[in-house]
Amino acid sequence: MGLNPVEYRPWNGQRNRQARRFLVVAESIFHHDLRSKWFLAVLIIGTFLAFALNIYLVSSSPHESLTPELMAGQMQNALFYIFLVILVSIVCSDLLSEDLRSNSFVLYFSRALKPEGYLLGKLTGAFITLAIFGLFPSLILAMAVTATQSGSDYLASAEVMLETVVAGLWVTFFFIPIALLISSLTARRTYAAVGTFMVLFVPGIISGLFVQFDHNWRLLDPSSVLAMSMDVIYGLGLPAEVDAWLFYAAIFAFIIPPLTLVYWRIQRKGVGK
Amino acid sequence: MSEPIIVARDVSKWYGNVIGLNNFNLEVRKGITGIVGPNGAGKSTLFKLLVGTIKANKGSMLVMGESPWKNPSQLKDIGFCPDYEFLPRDLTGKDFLRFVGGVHGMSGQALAKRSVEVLELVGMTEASERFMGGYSKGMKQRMKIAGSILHDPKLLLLDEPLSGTDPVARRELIDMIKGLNREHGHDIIVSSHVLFEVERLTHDVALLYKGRAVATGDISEIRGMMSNHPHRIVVQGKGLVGLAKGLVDRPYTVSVQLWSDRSALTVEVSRPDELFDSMAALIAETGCEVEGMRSLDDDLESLFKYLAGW
Amino acid sequence: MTGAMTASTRTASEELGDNPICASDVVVRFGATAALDHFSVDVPRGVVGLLGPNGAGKSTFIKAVLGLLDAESGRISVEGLDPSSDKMAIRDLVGYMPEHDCLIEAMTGVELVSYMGQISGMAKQDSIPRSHEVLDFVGLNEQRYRPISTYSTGMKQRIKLAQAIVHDPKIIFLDEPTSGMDPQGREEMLDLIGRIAATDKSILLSSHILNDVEMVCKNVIIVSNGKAVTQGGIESLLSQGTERKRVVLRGQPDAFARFMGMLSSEHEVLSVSEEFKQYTVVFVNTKESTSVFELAHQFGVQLRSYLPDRFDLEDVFIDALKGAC
Repeated sequence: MGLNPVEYRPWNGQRNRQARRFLVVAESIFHHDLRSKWFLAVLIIGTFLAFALNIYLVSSSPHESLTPELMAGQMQNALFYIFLVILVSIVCSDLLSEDLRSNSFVLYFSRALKPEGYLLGKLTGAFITLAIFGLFPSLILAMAVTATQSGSDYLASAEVMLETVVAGLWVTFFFIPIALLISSLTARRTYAAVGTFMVLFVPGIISGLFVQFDHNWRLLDPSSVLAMSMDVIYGLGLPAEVDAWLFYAAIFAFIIPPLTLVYWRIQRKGVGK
Repeated sequence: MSEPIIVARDVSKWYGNVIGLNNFNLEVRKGITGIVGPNGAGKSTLFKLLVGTIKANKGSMLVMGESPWKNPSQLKDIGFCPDYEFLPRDLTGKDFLRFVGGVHGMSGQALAKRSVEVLELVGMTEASERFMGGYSKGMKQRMKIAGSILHDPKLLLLDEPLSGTDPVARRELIDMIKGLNREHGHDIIVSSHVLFEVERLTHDVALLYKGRAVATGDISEIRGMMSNHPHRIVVQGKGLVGLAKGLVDRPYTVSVQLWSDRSALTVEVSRPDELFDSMAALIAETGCEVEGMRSLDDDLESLFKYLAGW
Repeated sequence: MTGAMTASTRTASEELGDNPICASDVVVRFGATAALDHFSVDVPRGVVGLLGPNGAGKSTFIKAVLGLLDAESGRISVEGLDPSSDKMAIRDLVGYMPEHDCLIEAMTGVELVSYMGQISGMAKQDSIPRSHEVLDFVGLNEQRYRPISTYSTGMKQRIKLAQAIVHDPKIIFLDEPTSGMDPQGREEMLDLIGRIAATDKSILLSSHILNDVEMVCKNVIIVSNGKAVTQGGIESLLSQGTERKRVVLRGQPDAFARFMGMLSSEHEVLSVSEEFKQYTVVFVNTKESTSVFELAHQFGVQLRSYLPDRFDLEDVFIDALKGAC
């Protein structure tokens, strides 16, 4: 017995801590991408072409242990980069352009979410999604190779495995700031996706033209810088002809200015400019 | 009665499976006429047919005696002010009028003189040297109207001229539109989906709903024709119990509802004129004191409610 | 500014009374122009209309309350909190329905409302049932499972309202909630607002449609050039006492003229106007109403409405703006 009409009702539940709310943004991105046909298709084809065959070949051929050279080689594989860049373009293109298009910043920032929380949420969402391709397949490769090794130095393999975790996280993260920047510049998803793809590939072509004059021109290309940082992570050292300071400056330039610019744009949007 | 300036007979217009107007009949006479209806009722389709940018699939449409389709010469007698914004941001108001004048084949002294006149008419003389990008919503509407009356058309079509304006701008626009009719003799058709805005402009309306003109004419007269919907009238005052009893006995009364605090009653009547005419006698008979009396549904909104079946 | 704030140990609310939102002498500047120029208001509970022409400072005030803009000087208190230091806590108390399109079109209605609830701190298992409840309330039925890009204006307005109330805020800002809606939608939206207000919320409603404001608001604040020029209860702003009466009559011009001759000999007539085939007369009636009804009957004019003369909210609004200049 009793009446329960459709009416406005108060809600007296517990709220989550404000500092954790960026996770809502991240989770929404992750779920959205896992339902996107394009993302899944490229992910599956990419994983197959860049990893599946290698996992089979390497683990079935005789080997003593997991070596840094083997893993660094895998992480510098051109196919891996091509698919990574395509996935980054798919995942990141709509992260900010969608909100620009629909003016939805006001919905976020009238709530207890700071611009930095919003940006962190977008970044985390893209990061977790891309880790499916950037981190896990290489980790599986490393585990498969270790499991089938003939030698007994599992400690050395474990060390390489640990380096692979670091390398996978780094690879996953590296392109996101640039992609976010491109996404924050346009309200059109296709522009952002194509723009990201171009920005990540065209510098490679330009640096290829000039590299015969000076090897440091390679640092213009984000993919080359990423490939070199794999050598550093796996303890193989930078190529001798590349200036170490310039190398670190390039890493800085690919990450900090884009993020700063994106943050600045979001903050302005939050005020309604 | 004057000649109708617009006659639509069984006009139907569809776009693929979507119907814009459906066996639409309308006669519009001189003066200001309000075209009212919710979004998607067919108002824009009607305007497009009137200026001849689209052709009806069926039926005939005459504007001042001629068919508008493929009849560009008629456009010199029609001014159309669409609801969307089209003013170039980086032109001044004056430049815009010069451009519009060019389109109409006006030039030189005549154009300059008419521009000054029109700017004065819409109250934009001062702002006419400024870029239109900086105009407020109300100023943009005025400028749009200025563009549409520049060639001094007989008939002016204003599509949602009041939408999005603030109360100050709205009042000024309403006064201006009334003035265009009263002082300058333009016949005007105004569309709006905000009913009480239209009600202040004119009581001659056509109610559009689902591609049909569900009612046309004077608001009160339309209401009078709807005898199957009783009128509700609220009477406030003292000693109303007697009045309520008296009302129950009248033949025109459908129902009487006394408010719980006895401070007012709502009476439903089939023939409101008879009630209004007999109020004096009723008050004298029952000895009540009336502090207020008003009709609850003598307005466009309730017309719509009944005709559209809300 | 900070020096003045820290010197005072009293909270903002103690100084400004216990209304949900108070502001005193708030100044917000964009460059050289002052968007809020010594703006002071006391917003009582219930539905309050925030009126003013475009660019008068209404949105700026809402942004200052939300802490999206910093006040250069002056003080704001929202349920005892100060936006300059507690803006995050304030935003959890507030629901905001913006005027313009702001919905993420790729999401479905229920996804968006639930997502926004979660960003306001609701756990997923709370926000999903609550979103459906709120969507039931605003009257969005099966459409909630379709992407927002397919919605009509009226449906978008409902979703915007739903996302503003999903986290059950104490204070709700509604910016032009009926804009673009047809009459039926408008009426339903106003009814929803009234029903929310009945649950002890503070609702600040900004609208250009003064009829809407008159229908749901008990109080109004009129803003002009960055200042609150008038504030108070609608009833007291519009009332002119009960003796001034406004009557609407219909009849032949000569009958009306004879009626007016008689009426003006017995009462002080303040104004007569004719529009749309009916006459409106304002006069002072200190006696009983019977005589007026009889007079009309006697001269063959029909008395269609007889009401105490009230100011028109639009007149009050325009006068307030003129007075401010």
